[in-house]
Amino acid sequence: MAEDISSDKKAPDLSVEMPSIEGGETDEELLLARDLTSSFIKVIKAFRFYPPDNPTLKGFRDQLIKKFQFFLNKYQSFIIQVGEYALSFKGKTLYENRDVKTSLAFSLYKDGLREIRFMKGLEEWEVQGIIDILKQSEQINQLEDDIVTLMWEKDFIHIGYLATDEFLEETPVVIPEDVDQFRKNLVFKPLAHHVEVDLAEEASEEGVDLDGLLSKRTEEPLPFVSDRSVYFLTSEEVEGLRKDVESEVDPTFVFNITDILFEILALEKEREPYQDAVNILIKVLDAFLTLGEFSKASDLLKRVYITLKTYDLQDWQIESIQKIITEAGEETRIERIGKVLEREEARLEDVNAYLLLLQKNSIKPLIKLLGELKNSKARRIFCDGLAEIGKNAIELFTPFIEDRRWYLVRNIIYVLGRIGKEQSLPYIQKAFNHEDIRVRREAIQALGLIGDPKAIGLLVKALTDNDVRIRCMAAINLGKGGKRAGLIPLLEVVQSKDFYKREPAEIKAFFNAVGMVGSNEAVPVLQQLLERKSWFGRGKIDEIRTGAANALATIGTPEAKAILEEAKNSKDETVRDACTQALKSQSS
Amino acid sequence: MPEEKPNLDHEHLPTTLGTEFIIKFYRLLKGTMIYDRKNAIIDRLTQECLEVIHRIIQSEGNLFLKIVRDNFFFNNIRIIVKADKYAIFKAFWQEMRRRWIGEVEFSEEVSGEHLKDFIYLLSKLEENNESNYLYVKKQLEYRHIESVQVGRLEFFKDEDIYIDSEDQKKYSKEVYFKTIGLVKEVVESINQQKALNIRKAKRLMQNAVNAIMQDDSTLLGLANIKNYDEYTFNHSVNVAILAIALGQRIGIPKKHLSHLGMAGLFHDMGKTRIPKEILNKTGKLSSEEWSMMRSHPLVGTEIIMRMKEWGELSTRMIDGAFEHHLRYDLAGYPRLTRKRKLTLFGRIITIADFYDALVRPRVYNRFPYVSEKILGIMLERSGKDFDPAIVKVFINMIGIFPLGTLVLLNTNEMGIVIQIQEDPELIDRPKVCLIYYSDGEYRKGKVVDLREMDEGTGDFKRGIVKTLDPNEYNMNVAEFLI
Repeated sequence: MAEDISSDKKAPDLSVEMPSIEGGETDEELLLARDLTSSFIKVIKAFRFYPPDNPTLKGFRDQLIKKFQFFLNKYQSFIIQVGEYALSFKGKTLYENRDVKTSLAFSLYKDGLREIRFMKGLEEWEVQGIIDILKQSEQINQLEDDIVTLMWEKDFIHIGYLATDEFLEETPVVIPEDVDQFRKNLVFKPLAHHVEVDLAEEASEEGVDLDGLLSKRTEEPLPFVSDRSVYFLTSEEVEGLRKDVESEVDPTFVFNITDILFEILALEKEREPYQDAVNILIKVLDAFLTLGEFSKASDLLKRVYITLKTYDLQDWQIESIQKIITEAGEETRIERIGKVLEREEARLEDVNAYLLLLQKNSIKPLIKLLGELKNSKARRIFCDGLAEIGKNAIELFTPFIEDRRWYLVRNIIYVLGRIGKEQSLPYIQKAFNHEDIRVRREAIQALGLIGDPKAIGLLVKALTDNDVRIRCMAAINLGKGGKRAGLIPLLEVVQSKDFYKREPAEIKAFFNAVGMVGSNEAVPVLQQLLERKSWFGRGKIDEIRTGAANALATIGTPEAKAILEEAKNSKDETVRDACTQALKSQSS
Repeated sequence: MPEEKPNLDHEHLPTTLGTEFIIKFYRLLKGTMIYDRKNAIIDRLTQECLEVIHRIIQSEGNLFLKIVRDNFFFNNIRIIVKADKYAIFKAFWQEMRRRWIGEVEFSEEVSGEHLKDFIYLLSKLEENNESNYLYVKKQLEYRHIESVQVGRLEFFKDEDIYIDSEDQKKYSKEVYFKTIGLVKEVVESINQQKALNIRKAKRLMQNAVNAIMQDDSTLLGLANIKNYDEYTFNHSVNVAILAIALGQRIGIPKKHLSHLGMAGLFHDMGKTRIPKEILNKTGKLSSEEWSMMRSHPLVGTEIIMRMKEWGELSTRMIDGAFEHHLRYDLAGYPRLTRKRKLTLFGRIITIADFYDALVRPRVYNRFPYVSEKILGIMLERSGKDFDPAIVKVFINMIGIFPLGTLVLLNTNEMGIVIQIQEDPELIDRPKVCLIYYSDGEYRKGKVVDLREMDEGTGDFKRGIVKTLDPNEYNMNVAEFLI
């Protein structure tokens, strides 16, 4: 189906090199065998050509399974003989292709395969298994595997084969035909000292007289000869062995190599093998990240840090080990994290733990990924990680202030705020003038977090911004900072002539901010605002009184409380109510 | 699309029921080889087997046992064979294979007499006759036993399965000596820093697994060869064979058995970097020499790391190389910086390595001396140096009179243990090749099965009195096993 094929590929030629049949074939078994072979080869071609997730493949395979089952139910077995260029059934050639690059027969033959047998009962996984082997036959690393070794490993139940391995012999091996030939190759040497000691106690280095022990005559048979319980497995032992087997045949057991690699990092003094161990550890790390095993990836990095701290290492060793940490933050690895986060719900706390172990080189790739992440929680985790990693690397963030994506700029400002360094102020100031209000708000938050005099100065400026949301946020951030430098401008605003005209939310925000500073310095001003008579509409003065009373309650000092207690008995009902409410909310 | 065979739950009912049936059925079958059908023991074994059959019929409606290659299917579900049941399954499989019977079905409850008819029919079948099942079918029909059915064993005669013990022996011998040749090549490649042909090693180990799965006694017997060519070559092959055979009994799947064999084969590769003067030195080693000697697990690990991309196989090979001198209690070397449980592959190779080295002659011009005392030493160190469960499996495999042991029988005959009985009850009654002295040398006599009973007295015909040191007779036992 043309629509299933990727654009850079042409439609595959799935035709099968079937020899032409002279005259009509009447033997039904042969006809069916021919059809089955043709389907089998077609399916292998299709699997080689189409990407593995292509739905066409399943259809092809299912059809092949049906054909196999039909044939095997009728004839019990289907045996293909493999020739150098041809496949045949009961002496009749069913397929022939002399092109060694494309011939399926040749690819089987060159690996020593001479016959493939399919038996009744053939299962789906077996058909898929043999397709998987044959589709990749061209890519097999011939130094490590071939079709025969791969078929053997699949341990098929209903597929058998005949294979030869004579072609693998480089030098002929003498297999002794008789005792004389055998004796010729016998080598009699005394046992080396190290073998003797290895058999004895490890600590002694002296060896023991094992020979003496073995030749010592014993009149009575050894206890275990008569007491069989000594070598009968208990049910716990059977279960223990079963569990051991289960865990060691699990594909993830490959990660077990990590323990040995870390032993090498502690023991080895030669550069080359040291580097080999480091390289494999990086591969292990890659595998963890690809699988989304972030907790294991961070455990690995933690062990790297522990190794660096614990052992007395030479400079080249330190450099070598540090390469793992550097590599852990390289772009390819960060991209792997992104891929996992895209496709599945990862444990974000594990991702966070990993990020916290990275170094400066990871900042750029992390920011790049941050701009692409869709999950807001994941973005938050990345920002927190960046804030930790980037403590001394502000300069790596600043280029991104110019990024055209407002959300990325906002995230960068968030990170800079969390880092809290004065050097970021010019960039935050820039962001403060950003066209997007969300970036400007983040900039105010960041200024609040930095909190140094310059930042406070910028916040104070923001108190007069045209946007009410910015003014409120600036006030709150000044309040949170709790500094006198912030208090004075806040008090100036609340005492200003037209302050009462502002939106209730803004009034509330400013008084909250004054309260948050928590200084007695604000108490006389607040007292005055609380008790001031109304020249305006009643509603407006109520908001001012409520705000002032709440601010006093938030300050919470004895002086502030005393004013509230006293004003609770005020003749003015609105003063009384404001103070009572403020005290109540504070005590709750 | 399923890529792997489905995992089976080890506790599932078909495995439990199938195992129960096979044990009882096998015991009954073995009984028929020793006792006649009127014997009280046969009555008891029949009753025990009937009890299981009926229970299965009542709960499952049918009992269908099928053998496909070395897999057992109970009512079409594959049975997982546990470590302690391995021997009995293997023995049963061998009995059925000899008779070419691959299916047994009970569609309803049967009487004791009918079961006896059936089991004696099976027992008396001639060996290696593909048509046996037809004969049994006809006989069952003739006797109106309709509820029992049998089927032919499904495998191809000329495939990697050998019915004939001579073929099996020839095949095992080829595997053994070719593997010695391969180790030699590997060592040369390492020394010359040439690329290694892992594929060839894999094929040989896969062939070794095939041979061991058919009948491990031939290759285990060959593992008694100790002085053939260089020590490391011979020793590495023996360790691989012992490890595969041990792994098989523990229940390690076939694919991983070949990995285990590879791990055994390459476990000592670190020694290729040790100067021969140190490696073969018989005198006391200096502390520098010791430290070099003790670096070989680490060096071996590094050689494997370099020659093979990191993956499933290389991880296991590395485990074998790195851990084979580490003891169960983590003593030994290299000293670990962090405590952890040793891998199963590492623990297996440690035992195989120790046993093969221990059996090796320690004095110039002496022959290997296999005896039950070696197992005594291993048992003594079990829990400290070795995993106790694996030591037990090892003894069950190698026998309490290990393969290759020279024994004196109560008939005053001398023989070499050549095959262990798979039934653990009969572990002290192996098959023995009698040895006689003629024309100035020892020669092979007939093979006797120490299970054989004297019908007149009801006693065993022969029994082992004690083990002998072949050096006292100037005899290299391995010569009788090749």
